[in-house]
Amino acid sequence: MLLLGDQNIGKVYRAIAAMHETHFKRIARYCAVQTENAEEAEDLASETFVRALRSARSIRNSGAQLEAWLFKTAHNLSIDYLRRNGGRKSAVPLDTLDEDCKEDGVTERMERRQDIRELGTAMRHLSETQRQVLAFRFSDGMKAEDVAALMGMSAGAVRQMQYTAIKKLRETLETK
Amino acid sequence: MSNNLDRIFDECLDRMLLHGESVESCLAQYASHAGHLEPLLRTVARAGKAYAAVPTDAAAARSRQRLESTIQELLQVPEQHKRRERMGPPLPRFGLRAPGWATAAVALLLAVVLGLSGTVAASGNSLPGQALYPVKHTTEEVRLALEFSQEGKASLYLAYAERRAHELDALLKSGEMSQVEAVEVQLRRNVLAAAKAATALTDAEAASEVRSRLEGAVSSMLLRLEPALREAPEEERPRIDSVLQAIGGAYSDALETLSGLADAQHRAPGTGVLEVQTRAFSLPRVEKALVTATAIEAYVAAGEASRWVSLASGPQSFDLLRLAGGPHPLGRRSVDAGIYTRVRFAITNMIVVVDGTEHVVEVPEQPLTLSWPFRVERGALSVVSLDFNGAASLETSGPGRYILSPVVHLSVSEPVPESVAGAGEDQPEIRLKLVPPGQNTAGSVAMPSAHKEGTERDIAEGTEDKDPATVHPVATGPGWAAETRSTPDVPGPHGPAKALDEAGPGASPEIPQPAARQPEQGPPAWSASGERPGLQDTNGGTAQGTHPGPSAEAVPPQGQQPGPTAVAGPDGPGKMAQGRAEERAASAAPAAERGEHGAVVAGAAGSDVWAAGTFPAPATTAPSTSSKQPPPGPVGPVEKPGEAASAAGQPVVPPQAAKSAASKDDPLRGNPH
Repeated sequence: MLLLGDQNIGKVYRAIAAMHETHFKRIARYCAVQTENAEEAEDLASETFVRALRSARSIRNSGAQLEAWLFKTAHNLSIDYLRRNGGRKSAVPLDTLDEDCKEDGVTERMERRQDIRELGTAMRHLSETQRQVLAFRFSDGMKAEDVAALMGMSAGAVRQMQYTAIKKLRETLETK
Repeated sequence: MSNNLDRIFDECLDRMLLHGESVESCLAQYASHAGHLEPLLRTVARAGKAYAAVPTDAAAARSRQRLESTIQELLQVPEQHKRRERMGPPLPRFGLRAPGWATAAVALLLAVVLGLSGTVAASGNSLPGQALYPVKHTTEEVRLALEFSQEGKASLYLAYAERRAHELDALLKSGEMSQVEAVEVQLRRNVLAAAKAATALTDAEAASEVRSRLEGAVSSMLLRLEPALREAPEEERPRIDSVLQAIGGAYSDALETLSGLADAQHRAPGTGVLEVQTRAFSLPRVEKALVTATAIEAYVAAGEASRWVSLASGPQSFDLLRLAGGPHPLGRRSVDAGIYTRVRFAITNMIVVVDGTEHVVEVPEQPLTLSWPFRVERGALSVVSLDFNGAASLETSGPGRYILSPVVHLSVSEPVPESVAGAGEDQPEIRLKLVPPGQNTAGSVAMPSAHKEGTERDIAEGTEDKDPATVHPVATGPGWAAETRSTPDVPGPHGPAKALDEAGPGASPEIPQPAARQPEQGPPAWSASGERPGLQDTNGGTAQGTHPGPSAEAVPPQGQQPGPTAVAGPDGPGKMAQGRAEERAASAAPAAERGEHGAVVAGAAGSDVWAAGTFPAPATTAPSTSSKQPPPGPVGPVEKPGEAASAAGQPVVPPQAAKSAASKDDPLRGNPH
């Protein structure tokens, strides 16, 4: 049935659509850090927005709240993905490097994505919270204060955590 | 130390991830920590580079597409059951949800019968108040949700504005008035949203396209709705007119905004001629009205080159009464071709002679600004005409004390090649709308126009108080109307203004009626002219609307505060079609409806809105009022520039002659049809 009489639903859809334009990149990068798989991350990000649409009735049409909802959902989807794949190395078949890779420098793109996998493997040695801090930090345009607000931590704690996380990441990568 | 390092590291992260700085530049900044920082920052750089490759544009596009199809799917999937699961039985919820539920239930039923796509399709022709209308509205909302480009949004908003215009048309034709204002609010919202979306366009051509569509939409809409206005029951006309004028104001706002934006696309090289002229200023009992106008300027909207352009080299002094019958050029200049949005001038001095005695008139301190977009084309003449409503513009607050609060009707001619313009024949005049003055009181120079304030406020509030009942004005008391003088009948067509003047109770040709005007007591017709010749005034007299000659001229009542007011209204010489006066009155009424003015009349009987003395409003509110007055009526031919000279050159005439002249000028204010 159409959303008869429920005029606000259109507004929520619109807000989500607008958020997709501004936040798809962030969400996708967040997922990439979490899942070590660029393609999977893009799919998870897309799924995040679709879920937002399906839950539109329970989401308040407020920017901040919608943003928090999206990250939370992206996080859960990422964690679910990691659990499903266990310790399995998520090899990315070449055929999933679809037409995206034809756009520009296939080689460079493959290198980047390979790098994401290596980084992701190293990320698994971090705590979930540390990984989450880095995921926010490497998403697009977020400062320590923004991350702190989203995670309910102090900015100082975020700064400390990102420092130790990168330090550990570095060590892990070096030992390989 | 550790804390300090955290901060330094954090700062380096910001520099690298947010500002794209290199590892080296960060290390240079914190050379003392370089050894410690470098391996960490190299890791950050590597990770930053890797993650920056996510997502690809193709992935974003795919996701967008998926989002769109999901929304479509959500709209197609019967959610009835889902809703029950989530929220329990729908019935008790009805009352808690949108008011539209009652009718929505019917739509729901129909949807089951027709199938969903049928419902959506069927809703396309639904009107406000009908069962399927909420479906239509929601469908539009969703379509907007799916539209990601500003250009697409602007296009949708324009299309929806057109739909609203169609709905208005249908509502008016069916006499279903209850939803008219709701549709008007939506229409204005759509128009302004289209303009807003267009402002976000980086593509000048696309913005220009939006502007062109808006320009076309406003004329086609008025052409379509005007017949509805004419055919509407008299008692509804003020209300309809108010709606039309509000809409006109929104289009005006939108065009103003975009004319500057899209400037690069339409600024035609070269120059054209812009002339501002004034006509008609009939005043009861006044023998002379010497006016000095200065700073006659037009505002050209040309992006960064927007500016006021002077149209006259110095103060212009003239006797307004002697202009009757012909236009008097206030200013005429060769100007850059382009879009102009406003005209302003200041009246610095005014003296009236009443009963042989000179009186200095208090004039507005601020310039009078009239806003309406018009074009000046290369090698062509554009004429802006300002018609003062004499009776409404001049008020008195006591013996010998006169106050000028200009009530001006603005009309603009379509540009005509100058050679043709010289002939002064058959110049098409675009119907123009109006005029807001407004700001005159505020002296605002910039974009803001009175109607803008109105529309934005209205929209912000969601709805407007359009209940005509709230608008009915009440004359505040006898003004110098009490001293109404009569004028002889003058053969020939009359302008609506005169006819309106006659409408005042007690007015009667040749018979001065000292009785104070009390329009609110008049019969329930709002114009005595034209079609309602036999209206009885409260004094038992008959309004002289059908008579060619003006009778007593109404004047504003005392105690009214001066406020420059522009009045939009149909304009045109020649035939003063019956009923025009009514439209005119209607055009004045909306102001009242907006509650911005003091008095008014809407619906009040048989009296001239202006002459009735109800119109003058406090200076602060007057502007808004007028801004709402787009002339719904078609406009008459352009006045011939050539007439100006002769008109201006008219010898001073005795009061009686002046009256005749004034009455003759009325036709100029009439509408051709």
